[in-house]
Amino acid sequence: MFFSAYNELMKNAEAVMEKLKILTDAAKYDVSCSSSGHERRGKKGQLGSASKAGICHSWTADGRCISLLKVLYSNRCVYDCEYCVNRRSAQVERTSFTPQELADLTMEFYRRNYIEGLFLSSAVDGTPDRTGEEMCRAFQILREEQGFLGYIHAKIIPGTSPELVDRIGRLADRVSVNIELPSSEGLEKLAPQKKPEGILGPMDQITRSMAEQRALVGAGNRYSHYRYRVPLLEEEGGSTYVASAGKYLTDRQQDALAHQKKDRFAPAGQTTQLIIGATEDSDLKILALSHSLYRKFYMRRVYFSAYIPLNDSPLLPARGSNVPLLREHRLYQADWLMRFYGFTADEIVDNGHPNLDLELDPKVSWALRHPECFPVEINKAGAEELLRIPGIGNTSVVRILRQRKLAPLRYDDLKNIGVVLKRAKYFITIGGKHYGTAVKDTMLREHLLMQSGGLQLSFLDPKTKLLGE
Amino acid sequence: MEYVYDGTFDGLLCCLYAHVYEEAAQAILPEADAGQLGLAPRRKVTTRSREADRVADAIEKKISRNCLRRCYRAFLSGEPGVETDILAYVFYGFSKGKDVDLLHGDPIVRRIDVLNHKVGRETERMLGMIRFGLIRDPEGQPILYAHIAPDCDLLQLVMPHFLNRYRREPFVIHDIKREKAAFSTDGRWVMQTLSRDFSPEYTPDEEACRALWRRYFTNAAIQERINPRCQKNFMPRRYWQHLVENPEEKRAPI
Repeated sequence: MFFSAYNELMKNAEAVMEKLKILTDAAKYDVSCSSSGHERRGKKGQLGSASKAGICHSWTADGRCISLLKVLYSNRCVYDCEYCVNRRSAQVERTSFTPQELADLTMEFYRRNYIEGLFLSSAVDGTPDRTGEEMCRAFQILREEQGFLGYIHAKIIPGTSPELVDRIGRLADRVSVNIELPSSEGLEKLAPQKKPEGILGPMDQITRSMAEQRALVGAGNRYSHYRYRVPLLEEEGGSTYVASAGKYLTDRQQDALAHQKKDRFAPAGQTTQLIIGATEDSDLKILALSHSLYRKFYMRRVYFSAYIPLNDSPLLPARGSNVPLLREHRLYQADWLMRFYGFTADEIVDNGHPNLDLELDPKVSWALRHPECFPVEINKAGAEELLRIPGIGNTSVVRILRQRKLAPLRYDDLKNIGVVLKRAKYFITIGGKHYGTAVKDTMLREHLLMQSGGLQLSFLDPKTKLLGE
Repeated sequence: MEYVYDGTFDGLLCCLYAHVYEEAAQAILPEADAGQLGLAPRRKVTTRSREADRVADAIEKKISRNCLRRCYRAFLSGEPGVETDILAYVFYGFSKGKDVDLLHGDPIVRRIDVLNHKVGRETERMLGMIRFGLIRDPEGQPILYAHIAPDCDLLQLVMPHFLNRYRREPFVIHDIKREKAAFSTDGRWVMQTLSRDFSPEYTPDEEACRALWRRYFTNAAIQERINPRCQKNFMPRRYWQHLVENPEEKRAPI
C-alpha cells in the first residue's frame, strides 16, 4: 500500500501539474499559512505528526513562508465578489482537483518533507455545501484511508451547513471562515452574495464546539487578554460537573485536559482574515473588529492581507496602485501587542488617532503618547510594565525577571540579555540612573526616527514603495 | 597548559577532568586544530569513559541537568573556541550552583546562550528544509534519502522528530559535510559513516514529483510583493543546494 497511490498520481502528472498551477495561483492571496497550535505524536503504521510551534518548509520569492500546501479545491465560482481574483466574471482558466488527486499530492509532498500538511480552500462551485462535501472527501481520504497525521487547515465557505462544518472540524486541525471585509457595508457593496450571518454563524458554531469539549484556548500568551479561561469543575456524584465559582484552570492544566480529549473539534482552533486597503475602513475599525473577534469567538489569530489591486472595478483602488504593505506590517505589530504584550485595541488606536503611525512602530507611538508611564525602573517593575517598554520583548522580560532573582541588573547586562537599548534607553532607569534623553523631550520622536534610519523596515525590500501615494 | 582532545564530547569532558586533577587548562583544542602555533605547552588527553562520566555526573549534581544539556548543545555548534567557553561556563557554574543559568547578563553565560540559540535555530530550520527523495534498496524496497550540510553537528537532534513522523517509511539523512548518515527503519536508528561521494540513484518517477513541487513553489509567490532580501533572511543561500526548489527561479510568464 506504501506507494500505490504514488503511481496513480504519476500516471497523470501532467494533468495534475496544470491544475496545481491554476489552483495555486488562485489560492495564494490568502495569507495565513501557519501549521501551529497543536501537538500530535506519530502513530505506528501511520504517516505524520503535528508540531505545536509549527514548521516552515520554504520561503517563496516574496519572503512568505510555505508551511502547508495551500491550494483551492476549485476556482469555479458562482459568486462575483469584486475584490477576488476568482470571481465569476474574471477571465481565468477554471479547474478543480478530485479528492483523490489532492490527497495523493499531499501525501507525496508530505513524505518528502516539502510541507507540513494541507491548507484547503475553495471557490463556490455550485453551492457552499456541494463544494464543502468534496473538500471533506479529500480530508477523509487523507485521514481515514491513507493514515495521514499531518496538519490540515480547512477553510469554511460562508453559508456552509452546520452538519458539514462539524464533520470538517473533526478531520481538520484548524478551521477558518474569512471575514475579508471589515464592515457589513463593505460586504454588501463588494460581495453582495455573502451574508454576514453566513460568516458569523459557522464561526459561532466552531467556538461553541470547542467550548463544549472544554478545549477552547484563545489568542496569545499569558499576558494576553484574549486567552479563554476554562472554569474549574468539581465532580459531583457520578458524571455531573458544576463550575467552581471564580476558579480557572491554569494554562498547563488546560493543555493537559484538552490533550486527553478524543475526536477533538479543530484542536488548533480557528482563525480568520481581513483584507486591508480595499475599503476605506480605518485601523481603529480594523483593530476594534479584531478585538471583538478575539473576545467573542476566541480566535487564535486574525490575519491581515494587504489588498493587491488586480481587478478593474470602480469600487476598488485602481489596478497597479500601491499595495499597503507597510500598513499591513503596522497592523500586525499592533496585533502582536494585543496578543503577547497585554495591550488592548483602544490603547493602540483611539478616536484621536484612528490610524497607526506609519513611521514608528505602535509600541513606540504608544510610549510617546504616554510619557507619564515612563521611565520604568528595570530592577523593580513587574512583567506587565516591562513588556510595555519599547525595545524589550517577551524573551528579554523573562531574562530580566530571572536574573533579578539573583542579582540586580546593570546597564551592560541589558545588552547581553538582548534588549534593544537604542530604543529602550529613553524609557528606563537602571538602579535609578537614566541613560537617555528624557521622554518628555519634544525631540525624542525625531531621535527615534533618525536612529532607525527613518523607518524600521529592514525586512521590507528597499525598492518596494511603502507609503501609498 | 593547552589540552588537545579527540573531538568528541566525552573527550572534552576528560579535558575538564584533567583541568581539575592535573594541571589547569588555558585552552582546549580539538585534534584537527592542534597544528596551529601556540605559546603554552600542549598535551593530548586520552578519552576515558569513566572520567567523562564522572565529570558529567558532577555537572548534573552540582549544577543541573539542564546545564549539561546546554554544554552538549553548545559543543555541537562547532564554533572555534567553544571548548574553552564551555570550560569557563562549567567552572563558573560550579561556583554559582544551579542558578548559574539565571545570570543572562553575564558574558560567560551569555556565550553559552548564544551558542545554544544557534544550534536550536538551525535544528528548527532543518526540520523544515530537509528534502527527501525516493531511492530503492538492493531488494527494491523504497527508502527516503536526504542530504544536508548544516553548520552545526545536528543530525542527532533532528532524528527524534523524523522518527516520530515517519512511522512506516525507512529513511536516511546524510550529513555530507561530516561524512556520516543516520539510518532509520521500524522506529530505530543508527549513525554510521558515509562518504560525501555517496549519491544514490532516485526512482524514475522522482523527477515528476519534484517538478510538481517546483511549480508549486514558483507559483505561490505573489508578484506584487517580491522581496528576495526577506527570502534570504529566512533561508540563507548556503542551504539552497540541498533543496529541491530553486529559490531564485522566476515563474514562467503567464
